[in-house]
Amino acid sequence: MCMKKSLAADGPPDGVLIGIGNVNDHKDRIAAPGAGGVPGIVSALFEEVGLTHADLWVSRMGGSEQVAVGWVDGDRPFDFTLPGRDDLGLRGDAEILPFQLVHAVLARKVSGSLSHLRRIHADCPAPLIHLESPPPIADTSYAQDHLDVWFKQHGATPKVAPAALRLKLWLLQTRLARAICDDIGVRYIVSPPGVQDKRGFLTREFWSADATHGNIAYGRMCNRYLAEHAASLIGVPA
Amino acid sequence: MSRKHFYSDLPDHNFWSRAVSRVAPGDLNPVTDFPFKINPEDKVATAGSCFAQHIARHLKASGFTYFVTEPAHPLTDLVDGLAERMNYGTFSARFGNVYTTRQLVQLFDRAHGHFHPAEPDWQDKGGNWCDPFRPAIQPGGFATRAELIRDRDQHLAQVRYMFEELNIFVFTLGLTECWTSRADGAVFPLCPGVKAGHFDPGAYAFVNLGVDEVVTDLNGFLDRLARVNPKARVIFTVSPVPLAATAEDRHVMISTTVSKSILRVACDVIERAHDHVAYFPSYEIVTSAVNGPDYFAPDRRNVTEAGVNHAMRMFFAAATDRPTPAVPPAPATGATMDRLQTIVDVICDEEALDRPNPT
Repeated sequence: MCMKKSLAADGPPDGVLIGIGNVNDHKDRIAAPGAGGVPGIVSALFEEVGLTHADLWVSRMGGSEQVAVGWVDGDRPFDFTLPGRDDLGLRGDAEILPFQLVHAVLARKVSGSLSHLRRIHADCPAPLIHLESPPPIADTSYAQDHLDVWFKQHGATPKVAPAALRLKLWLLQTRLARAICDDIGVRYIVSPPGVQDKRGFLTREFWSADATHGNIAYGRMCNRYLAEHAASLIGVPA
Repeated sequence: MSRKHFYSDLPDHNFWSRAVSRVAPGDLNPVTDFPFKINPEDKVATAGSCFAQHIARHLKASGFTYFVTEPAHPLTDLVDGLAERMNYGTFSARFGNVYTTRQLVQLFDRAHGHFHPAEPDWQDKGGNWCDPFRPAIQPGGFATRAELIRDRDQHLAQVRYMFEELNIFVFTLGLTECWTSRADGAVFPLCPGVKAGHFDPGAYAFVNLGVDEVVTDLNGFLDRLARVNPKARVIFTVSPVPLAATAEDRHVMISTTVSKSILRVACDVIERAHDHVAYFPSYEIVTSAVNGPDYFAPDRRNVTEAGVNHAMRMFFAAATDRPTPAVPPAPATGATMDRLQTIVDVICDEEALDRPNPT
């Protein structure tokens, strides 16, 4: 979303046209085999960003799985340990779930969100890369005050989970998405340098009015970063 | 003039010809007197060997209050079968199979902070952590030692709650053979090195409990339970499932007979000594010569759905005032398998004893 706004404001980066879109917004265009298939998605995405050609395709599919799984505390608040990130600790007031359980749940959701990536990669008319979703913000109060409207529709008084849990969920999601991309052969692009603090949270200047997304400045960072990658992918100078 | 003697006025169930020979196999019912009834609102908790899972499954499906204090987190609803794979709801808490009476006593003591085993965790070659006292409870193991410790603390708190709050405790005695820590006598459900841990003869000892030891364990458990829950009533059963393997230097069938006999005798001693304790003869129903061939799968070890259903029909008839509830059949394990030989899917860690060592 932030990247589209950035493109709309600035135009595409010099030297490369980037197709951006969330394929899952166009599920109705993902036709059954023999009924159009991927070209339908491609044209839908072109329409979405107002382009007729792209030298590089960027997948921003998924990314909100970790939000759905644990951003908001349910009746049984939980936490889990993320191997390699002992520094993030565990809540004292929540049920501790086995890592394998959270992994299984998030893996199911991420694989569902990226289920079309393999087909698109096979048929995409230009190189396809997948960009990591925005890291979570560290300020729980800000997140509480700027929750996506979806939560307000699905819970009377949603309580945002602690920052460390949100970061762990995001980190696990990125590991899972990267593994899928590696399996398919799609290059996985991590968040641009400079958008995260030392622990991994999105730095303040990139926070959006919606706590689960980055702002236009974040989108610009992503687009510039992608343009750099484009140079190596399609031989166009960044 | 007919002669009267001691047996003249005994009821039919005292006579093999009337209680067995002339009874249709499916109607065989060795239960003649059951000391109490389970009401639908009674909280019934289960533990024990793999056969105890059948009791849990039937209770769950029958409208009785199957008391689960460590239920799966709602997140597991997002993946079909995840809760079952992670052993939530298999028993009343996530303790896995409790095969021996010694394990039961130690579970109670660990839950109440009276026993802290010297060997609290194992780590596998892949770096994952395992609880030695429920080695198969977490597929793939625990990711970190901190996770294992927190999960065990949560688990033992729920075990404590279970013992304090249950109305009926059903325990299925499975084995007498067990492996213990030489350091402190801690009993493992499975020999170290089979599913997790490393076998070290210097650290572990084989123990085969005798009648006196089992009786002492059961009395010790009943005393402990009464202290935290004076109104609790207890049902003991003996698993009809033979040993998967024996550590004794003899045929596994001999060891099976000895172990089951020890457990059965111990139950008799305990039942006679305590008014709030009942024995339910699932062992007799399944293993009797009347139905034995039909109630065991081709491996002659796993119990068929027909055998389980027979035992559970008699359980509900004896222990409840309700007609036998209709329980959905367990899934068939093969299209060509005869219905009578359908094996009910249960988690039996002990079967790992008979598998090749991982390379």
